[in-house]
Order: sequence, then C-alpha cells, then structure tokens
Amino acid sequence: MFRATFGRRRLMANVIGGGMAWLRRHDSFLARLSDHVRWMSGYGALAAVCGDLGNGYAIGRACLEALPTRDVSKGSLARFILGDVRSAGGGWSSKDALARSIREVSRDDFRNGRIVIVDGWMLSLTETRVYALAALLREQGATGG
Amino acid sequence: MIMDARSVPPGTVLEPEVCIVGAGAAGITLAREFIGSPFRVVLLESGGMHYDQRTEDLYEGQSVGRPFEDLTTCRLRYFGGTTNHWGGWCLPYDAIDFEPRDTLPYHGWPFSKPHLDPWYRRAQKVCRIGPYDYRPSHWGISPKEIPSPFSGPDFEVRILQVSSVQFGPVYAEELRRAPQLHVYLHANAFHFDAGENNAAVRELSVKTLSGIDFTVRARLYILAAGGIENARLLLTSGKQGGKGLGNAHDLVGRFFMVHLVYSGGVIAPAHPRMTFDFRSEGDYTGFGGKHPFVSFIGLPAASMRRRHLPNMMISWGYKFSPVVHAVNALKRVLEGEGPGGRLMADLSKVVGNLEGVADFAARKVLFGEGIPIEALEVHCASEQEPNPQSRVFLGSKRDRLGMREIVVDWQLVPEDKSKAIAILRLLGAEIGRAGFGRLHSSLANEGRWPSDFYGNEHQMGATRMHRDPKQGVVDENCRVHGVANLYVAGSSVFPTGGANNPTLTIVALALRLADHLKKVLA
Repeated sequence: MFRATFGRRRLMANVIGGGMAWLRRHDSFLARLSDHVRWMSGYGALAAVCGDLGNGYAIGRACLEALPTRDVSKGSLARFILGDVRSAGGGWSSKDALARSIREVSRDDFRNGRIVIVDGWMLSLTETRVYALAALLREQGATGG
Repeated sequence: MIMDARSVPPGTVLEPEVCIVGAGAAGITLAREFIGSPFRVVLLESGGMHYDQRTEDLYEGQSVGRPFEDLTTCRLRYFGGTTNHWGGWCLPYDAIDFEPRDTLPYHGWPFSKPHLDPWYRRAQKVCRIGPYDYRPSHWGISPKEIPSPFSGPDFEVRILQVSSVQFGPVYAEELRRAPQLHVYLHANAFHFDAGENNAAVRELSVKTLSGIDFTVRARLYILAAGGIENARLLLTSGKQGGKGLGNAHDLVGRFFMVHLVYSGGVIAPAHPRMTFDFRSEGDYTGFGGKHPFVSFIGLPAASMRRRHLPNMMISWGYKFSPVVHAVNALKRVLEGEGPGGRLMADLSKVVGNLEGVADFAARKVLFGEGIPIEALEVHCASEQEPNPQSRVFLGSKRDRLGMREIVVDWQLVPEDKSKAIAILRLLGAEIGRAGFGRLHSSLANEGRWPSDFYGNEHQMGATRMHRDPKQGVVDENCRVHGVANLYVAGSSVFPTGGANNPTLTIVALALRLADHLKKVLA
C-alpha cells in the first residue's frame, strides 16, 4: 500500500515535473491557452455582433466567396477578427465594445489598404470577415458546424 | 462688320493683316483683341448666325477606333461655335497639368501655369465670371463643412465657376460695330497654299456652299476651327500630294484625346442624414456680384505626384430616400400647386407614406435635418493619357465642298483604365477610413469600363504644342512648326488634357496669342 502510495506520489511528481519542464520549453502554449479562454469570451460577443447583421446574409455569402477558401471556417474567421481587434488594443467586454472595436479596426484596414472588393463594394478585410462569419453562423447554427 | 460670304463676288481677293478661321470661343476672343488696333482682320465662319443642318453636315466623318460621339452633334458649326450649347463650366487647368510627369508619358506643356495666369485673369472677364480665385474658402465654403475624406490629403473640395456667355450672341454686336474687322459668315476655309516648300502660307482659298470661291491673302493666319477641324485643315492643306502643313514628323492629328466620362459608382453614406453643407452648386453673393459656382472633388497635386495618378474631376448626385417624392407632393399640396388630377395623385403619395413624411417633418422642426440620403452617385471625368496612336486623319470620302472627311481613331492606353481604378480605390479607402460610408465602384476590377463610359466633346491634342518640332505641331507661341505665318488656337494645341473643362484655357491661350501676334505685326 505504502509502496503503491509512494509510487503514485512519485508518479504525479514526475508527471508534474515533466509537464512543467515541457511547458518551460513550450511556454507559448500557456499564452495560447489563455488566449483561447479570452477568445472564447470574445467569440460570444462576436456571435452577438454577427447576430445583429440579420439581413446581411446575402452580403455575407458574397464575402465568403471573396475571401481565400482556407480562411473561411468559423474558427479561423473568429481568430482573425479577434486577433486584429486585440492587436489594435480593442476589447470585447460586451457586444457594443466589440462592435466599436471592429469599426476602428475596419478604419485601420482602409488606411492600410486591407480592402476586399465584394461585388463591387469596397469593404475592409475585417468587416468582410465579420459578414462572412455571420453567414456561416446562420448556415451552420451558432454552436454547431 | 458682319457679312455674308455668299454675296462676295467670285474670285475676290481679300488682303487683311490677319485672317482668323473659325468664330468659336478662340476665334471670337482673338478677333475682339484686334478691335481698336490698326490691323485689318478677316474672321471666317463656316456657318451663319444660327444652326443649319447643311453646314453642320460638313462635320460628317467616320469613327474607326473606340466608339466616339457623333461628329455632327458634339460640335456646332455656326457663329459662336460650340459655346452655343456649352455648359459654361470654367476653371483654369491645374499647375500639375502643365508639368512633365515621370510616369505619365508625353505629359507637360512648354510653360508653367504661373506663366499663363495673367491671361487666365483676363479670360475670366471674357467669360464674364467672378474673380480669378478658386479657393473654396473664398466662395463661402468653410473648411469645417467639408467631410474628412474630402479635406485631404488625397482628395479635396474644389470649385468651378459657371459662365452664361454664348460667344456668338454676346459678342456679335461688338464685332459688327468694329470697322476694321470683317466677319464673313458661310465662309469655309478650304485650303492653305504654302508654296512648294510649305514654308509660309501664301493664300487661303475659301468656299461657300452656294458655290462661290474667293481668296484671303493675309500676313498672318490663325486656325481656330475646333479640336478636330484644325487638324483636318492642316492635313488637307499644303502642296498637292503632300502630307499636309506642319506635318513633317507625322504628328498632325495624333495625340487626339478627350476627357473620359463615366459613372464611378455609388457611395452608401454611413449616416443617411449626413450634412453636405459644402453643397454641389449654388450662387455666391460676393466679389461685387452674384456668381454661380459648382463644387466638386479633385485630387491635390501632391496626391497625384505621390501616387503617380492623372487628374480627375469627381462630382456627385444625390439619391434621396423615396420619402422625397411624398415630401415634394406635400409641398405642392400646401402651396396649392397643380391641377385637380395632380392634387389627388399628390395626396395619395402623402397618405401612402405618412410615416415617412411625419418623421421628416419632426426631424426638420426639431433638428433642422433634410431628407435622408440613400446614396451619392459618383460621376467621374478623368484625364486621358496623351497617346500617339489615338488620332484623326483624312478619309477618302469628301464633303459637299470637296474636302476630305475626317476619320477619328480614338484609342486609349491600358493605364487610362488602371489609373482610374486606382483613383476610385483610393476614394473608396478614404471614404471607409473616415467612416463616411462605403463605395460601390463601377470600376472595381480590371474589366470593362462602365456601360455609360464615353469620351466627351472636349477634343484636344491633335495639333499639340511642343518646342521640339519632332514632338509637337505648334511651338510655344502656337505657331505651326516650319510655317512662318500660320498659328493655331483652341484645345487642339493642348499637349496634356488634364481633367478640367477646357474653355477658360482656350480663351486664355487665345488672349496670349493675340498679344504675341500684335508684337509680330508691329
């Protein structure tokens, strides 16, 4: 029994020690984990922003077509959008805060030439992604797909 | 005095000091400058005082390049010329239009804009417009009123002035009273004889449609017959079987260009009740009178230089929310306008959109807001790159007088479109950056020009000005290279077309030429 208990403790210590060592070697994982947690909260706000684009489905479909195929999954679109919002110092504590941030990022897009032509409309890359995500959410359901 | 060439005895030889061919904006301006001088002037005009189809038909020709406007309707061949139907838009060319540009081939004039400024000032008076001041702030447009996308650095608001002068009716009486000035109506310049070596014009043969021929022997001749006809007359003149006058280097008729006009797209404003107090047109009371003007969007020179772009004029039209029809109907009902049938229709419009009308009325009273704007339609007029392959030349068919008709081979270079696309992309980016709205560009991709695209009636370049005879038909004084006494007036001498309306520059150049000729004659 003792041996077994000792064995479990040693095993756990080894695992934790080994895990810490692995994490020290891969410290970006922690950052990514915490990003993921934060993005999960941003994702809710983003879904709410997209939900407000109720009649923008046709635009969203056109935006999906205008973007590179590899970029048009829900996950990658959300990561791109929230990543750009974060890089610009914006926040997503609420739907309104995120909408404001997206507007700011969109203006920066125009300033920096990150423009996508969607059926002749000159849109910012970020708003194109938001519309595209809204269309995907509508097609696949906010939680599925 | 004004005479009818059809009553001149056949074989007559007129011997003035100066012979001007064409009584449009350039020809009439030149002739007026000689009033009171000691020099006898003959001004030949193909048409009469009014429109005449038989005369207009002398403009007939062919188009073999890009589709071009009907040659018999885009110009007017009677006293006053095309100013008989012009829109009166006046503004000088921009300084950058006169400059050589690194990335725009064949660009630039032999002189700078400041050189032409004194004549521009005088041209303002000829066109009877306001002062030579085109700063929007001096026309009641405060910088604060101008929305961000149009207040620099890439776009700016500009103004042009509107002339109501039709040169024929306005200046006919003055010319009629001038004793040493003889205007011959129905007199068609037919052929410049410049001897065996084409070194100087000896005489000009003139024909009327009624079959009378006579001759003008002048010291100096000025061709002011219009953007295409100037080239046609040079090509058809000179010794038999030759290449024409001033055409030793095969330049006459080449570099033919116009302004490119098309719908640039639509701006969806971010806020339908945005104020556009910098307005698109109005009358400004100031400078000692009331002066009509129109504002538009242009590119600052620094933006054109930095981005290697040509010039462009951008104007817009409002597309109001449909509530505008109901509001207008309500106004008519309240003002008691219109017959009974119209009243019922108006009432029905108001009742049918009661909610919109009520919303408009409340906002008007509470906030002074106007009718919501659904969209702004963007209209573009852009500069065509000078292009030697774009040309007019003589065809084999002859007109009723026996002169060979013109063939227009209007051509563009790929950069004309790609640079227009670049400007509209820049506009879309600026509109988005400023949060002003979004642009739907009709030229978003490298495809076709918009369906409403056309080359307008500003015909330029076919006798271009350059100091080097190998690069231009006329020199910096508008004298035909190699011909001692023949000059050209009008937009055909423009080496670069810019985007601005050309008439003020035509008049300024005519005034400058008149000053030069007086010195030559003295």
